[in-house]
Amino acid sequence: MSLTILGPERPEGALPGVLQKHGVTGPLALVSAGWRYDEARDEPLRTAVPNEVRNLRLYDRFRILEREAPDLISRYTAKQDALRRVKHRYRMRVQAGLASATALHAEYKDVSCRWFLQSIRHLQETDELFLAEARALHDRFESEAQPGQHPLVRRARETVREELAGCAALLIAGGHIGVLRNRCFFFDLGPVLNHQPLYAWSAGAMLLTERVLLYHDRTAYGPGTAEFLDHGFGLLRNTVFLPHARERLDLDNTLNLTVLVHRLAPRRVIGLENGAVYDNGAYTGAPGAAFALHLDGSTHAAGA
Amino acid sequence: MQPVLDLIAACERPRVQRGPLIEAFVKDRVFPLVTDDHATFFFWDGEPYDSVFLQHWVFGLPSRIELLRIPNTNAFYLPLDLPKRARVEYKFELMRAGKGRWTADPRNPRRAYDPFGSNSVCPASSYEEPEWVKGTPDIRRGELVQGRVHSKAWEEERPYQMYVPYGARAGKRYPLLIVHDGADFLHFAQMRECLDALIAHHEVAPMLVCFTDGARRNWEYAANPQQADFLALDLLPHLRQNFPILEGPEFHGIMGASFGAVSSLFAATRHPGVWGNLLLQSGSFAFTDIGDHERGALWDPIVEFVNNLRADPPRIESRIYQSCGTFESLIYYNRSLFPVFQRVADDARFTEAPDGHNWINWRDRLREGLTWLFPGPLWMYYE
Repeated sequence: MSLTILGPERPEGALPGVLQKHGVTGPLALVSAGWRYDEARDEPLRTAVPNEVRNLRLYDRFRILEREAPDLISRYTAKQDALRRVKHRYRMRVQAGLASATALHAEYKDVSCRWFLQSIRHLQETDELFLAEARALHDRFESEAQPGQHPLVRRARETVREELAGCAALLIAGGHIGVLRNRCFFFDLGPVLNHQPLYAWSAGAMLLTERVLLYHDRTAYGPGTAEFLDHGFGLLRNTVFLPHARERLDLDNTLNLTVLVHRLAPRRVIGLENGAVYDNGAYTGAPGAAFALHLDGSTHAAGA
Repeated sequence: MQPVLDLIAACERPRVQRGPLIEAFVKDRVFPLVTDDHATFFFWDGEPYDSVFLQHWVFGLPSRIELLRIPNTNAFYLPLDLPKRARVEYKFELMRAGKGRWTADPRNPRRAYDPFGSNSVCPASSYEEPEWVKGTPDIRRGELVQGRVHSKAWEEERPYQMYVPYGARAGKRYPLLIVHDGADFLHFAQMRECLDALIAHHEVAPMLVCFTDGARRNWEYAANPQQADFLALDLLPHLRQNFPILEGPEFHGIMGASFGAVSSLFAATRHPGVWGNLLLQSGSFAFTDIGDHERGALWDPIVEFVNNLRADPPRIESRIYQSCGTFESLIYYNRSLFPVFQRVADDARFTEAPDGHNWINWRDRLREGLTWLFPGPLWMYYE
């Protein structure tokens, strides 16, 4: 399977050049559900690439199901509500755990300190517990509601797969990672992701990893508490992508970064900026547009 | 300050033509001269005055400060230290033959507008207008819908303007915020543009915002039960019927500045469990520990309300975002009330800003208040 990961496609898109380099000439299937109500506003992409673009309209398809399969969607919504309640508890634990790890490292600056390592383990256990509970909720919904057996859902999934089968590549755009993830999982895109070359950027890239991390240091109230959203498709293992890392993360705050990278270890933590390209694992993008975050909070540019 | 000192030195030279010197000095300069957090105010219009005063609204400084005359000229100056990130609104008072005339600074294009006119603005060099206020052409605008509601409380129809966010779609419901002094918030605090930007940047949840105005504003907002009833019993049910509003007090908020903040807080205590979010800016929360207040009869119900609130605070089933300028006389009342809010509200947050009782201060605090009370999906967007 061919997999290309890109950074944010704004302001300058790297995708057209990559597609040209790869010799992709056929129609492109596009998932832009992360754009939500703007899903269909894909004119800039259609203008930027010579290929025909076929939008799979997952956001729109789900809205149709909201009207035409209300019972199923109501059960789906109940599952999402349950997930939100789990997340509320998860947040309380993460905030406490993060405060402890950060305080220990601020005071002693010793990453080999047993107390620091124990606080990191607690954080990791909290993350694992949340992800396990999230998976259990999804699994229970699948087994009890059996969305794949619903005729409208089955037909929608078949249509998506047929459209995908007629395309030379699949593009997954960024946007709202929660909506993007949920629509892609609902329409069961996972099993067919590797049937054609795959290009994903920003939230699309996050979706392909095992687990999706939400983060932002520059809110109105300063650094927020990084937390996992949910599982991703897991096509890329042992990697956490952080799109817009320079804008969203305070990279001078090595204290917070050290805690974050320890918490995510042993996974590689990669910041993705505009111009970043990982072509089947090899970095071919603009120098410095992707960088690794190390355990000591430092960064190392890809392609340097 | 140094350029003014140089001008003074030049004017003190014998046989110098001072008029052309001053003309050359003011040419291409914007006043006050601000370096770091120090300002030098300057006034000269070629006319003779007995004296010139700086009139400002900075609580803690003498409210009227006389400018110094540059010897043998009709030019005046005043050096003043400013707190970091401060904004000071001011006017000049020009005195001649015992009579004073107020005027904006003719050499300062920065103005702040309010219902009474405009003031000149002196920002410390460390003050930065928030990026999200400036807007960009690509930000898509929400819609303002005009509406009217019949009010039993006021026994008349009341108009309102409802902000509907861009991208609002049928079948989806939104949080609601009701704004006191709505027309002024739209006009002087650019609240529509702020909402457009904060929602577009995903910092604030897409929400419906109802802008209302009082007919007899000060009296209606002064802890008046009729206004509280109007909000909870007339306006809210009407808006629920006519707009897709999420159910539950956690999705309903009211806000206001000055008396509007009093009215918001009073509404939440009179109708507990209705308003889950309060955004209170520069609240006129006057109280007395002993003796009478000296603010006039209009304030009587406010002082009674706040005195009772402090003496025996009820549970306030709301999250409260409170802000006040440190240059306001109201800062004392607001600082005093915050611990009460911390004790009896669901949650409370307080911001002090080096600014005064004005619309720009209230505008600049909107991001903090709205993102805390109605956070948007900022964490979710990776475009």
